[in-house]
Amino acid sequence: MADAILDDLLLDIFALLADPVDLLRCAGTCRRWLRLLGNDRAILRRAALLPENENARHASFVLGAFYQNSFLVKAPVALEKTSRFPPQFRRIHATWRRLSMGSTSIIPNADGLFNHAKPLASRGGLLLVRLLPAPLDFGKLHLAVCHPLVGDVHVLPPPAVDLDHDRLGGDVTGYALLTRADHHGHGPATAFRVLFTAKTPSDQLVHAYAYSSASRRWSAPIDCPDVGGLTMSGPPDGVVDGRGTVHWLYTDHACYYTLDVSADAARVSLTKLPIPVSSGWEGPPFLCTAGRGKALSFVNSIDYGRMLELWTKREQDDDDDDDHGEESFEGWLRCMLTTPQGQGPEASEYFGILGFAESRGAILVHRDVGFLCLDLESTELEKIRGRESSSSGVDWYPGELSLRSWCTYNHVVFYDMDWSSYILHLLYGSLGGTTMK
Amino acid sequence: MATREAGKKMIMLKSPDGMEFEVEEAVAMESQTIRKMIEDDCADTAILIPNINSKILSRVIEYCNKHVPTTGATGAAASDTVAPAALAEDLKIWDAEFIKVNRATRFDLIQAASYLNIKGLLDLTSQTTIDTISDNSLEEIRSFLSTKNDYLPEEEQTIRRENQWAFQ
Repeated sequence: MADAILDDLLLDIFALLADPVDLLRCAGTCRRWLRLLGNDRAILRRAALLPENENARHASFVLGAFYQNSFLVKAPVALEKTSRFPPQFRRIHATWRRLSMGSTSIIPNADGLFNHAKPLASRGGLLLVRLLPAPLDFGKLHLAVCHPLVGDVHVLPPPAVDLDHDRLGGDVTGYALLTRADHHGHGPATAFRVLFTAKTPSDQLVHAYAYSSASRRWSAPIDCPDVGGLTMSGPPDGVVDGRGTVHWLYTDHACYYTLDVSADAARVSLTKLPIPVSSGWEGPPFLCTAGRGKALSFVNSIDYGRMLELWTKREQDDDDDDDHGEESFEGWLRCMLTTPQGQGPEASEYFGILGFAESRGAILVHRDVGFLCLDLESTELEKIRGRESSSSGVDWYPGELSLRSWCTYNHVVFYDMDWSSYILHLLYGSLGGTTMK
Repeated sequence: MATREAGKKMIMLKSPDGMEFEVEEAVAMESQTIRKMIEDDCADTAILIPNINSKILSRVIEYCNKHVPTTGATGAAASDTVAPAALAEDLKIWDAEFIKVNRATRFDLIQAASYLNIKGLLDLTSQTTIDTISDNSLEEIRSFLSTKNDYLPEEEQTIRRENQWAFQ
């Protein structure tokens, strides 16, 4: 019956859909609709599903962020199977109409599987969450990976680890989600791996655990280098480099280190970063990846956060020394991401780093009240805003997105992906689990 | 109202299945397509509306009939007796009732509104469709539109070709 609507009429209707999530769902409905939308870049660009810059390298988009603001403390008996407090989703590009509706959940949760669930990490359109099934037992780690837009979910079997029975989260120190592109593994295009590190309550040592969706198994835990005297200094969702190694930032208050764990949790190491801990209030460096090879990198705030610099780890085969504007230092390349600001009122503005939009090769920053996307390669700053807010000249970014206190329950997980991964998930759908209703 | 009754000119609209509807010119001119025909003097006393059957055409006329007093030159007369805000509210309720039709009829109405170029009706029908799409899962949208999921793994190469821009 949808065929009864003519193509240009459909495009007129799509043009009325300002919200990128709704437009994405249209593109996912059937191939005809995707073809129509793919040939109308103006609609995609206005809904922020393509970068405004015509020459941008990636057909990718940042949709918003997941967070959980309810905290389940006690649930001794099974709860009814209805949707209650699933992770909330804050749309970055929300129009005023949407804003007035507040946050919503975009995770289908009719059967209550995601009730009170805590979003942990997201990559390539997939979302890793910690489930809290009742009767509640904090000692067991229940994880699930889902694709909120496509509607697939894969519930992981609980790993053989005993966590603190009395409180949630303190002993799971870091986690990461790896897609097939990261670990070059076999299996379907939508295969993924989950990695986490946890402190055993008995010996306080950190171990790494890996799960493969293809085999539906957890690896045997591996001991991590002693991080007992170190403090985690970055987000608990680790950064995955081009070789499929996950990195988490630690500090001993003199230096910074990364804890590195390979995708299969077979190799672990601790690496010192080339910068000292700042005595100012710039904050710790922010781990990310940059370049075609997705080399481990970090963004460093200098001059009270008025400027940002990018440090990229040199690959072994990376031997051209004469890159302009880059300095080499202990196996790292350093370059400026922002230009020095002149005098005047602008000079007092500083950058706050909110998150990493990996699919776009950019970090998300706020500056004054503006919410911006800073491309790590071109160093271009692109403003992110809702369609309606731009016409009124008011810039804003939703308050929830600045909840960067990584140690709290309210950890925010940014949601971004590129078109090719979305299409592959539409094609190969099933994550090997059940389909969400 | 009296002025309209006195000065009204009637137009005959014919559907391809042979039905004829006599409507006031002002009502017919809610459609920009018909307005153009009338203004260009290429309309006889009867206008054949191709592709729109009598069932849909009668509903379109019903819509135009309801909406005509609030727009155009005759709007002033109506607002003498009823406050404009109350009138708009009344229209809104009427519209909501009007659009409670099955999916096939709604799609026919969208096409008719597009062909006849009736902005209000096109907005109403499109918005209703959009409200169905918003905040529903892919499965729900597909089932509402009676569309099948045609993203099939064996079609990967074709889909990559069709959407080259996304895979660069």
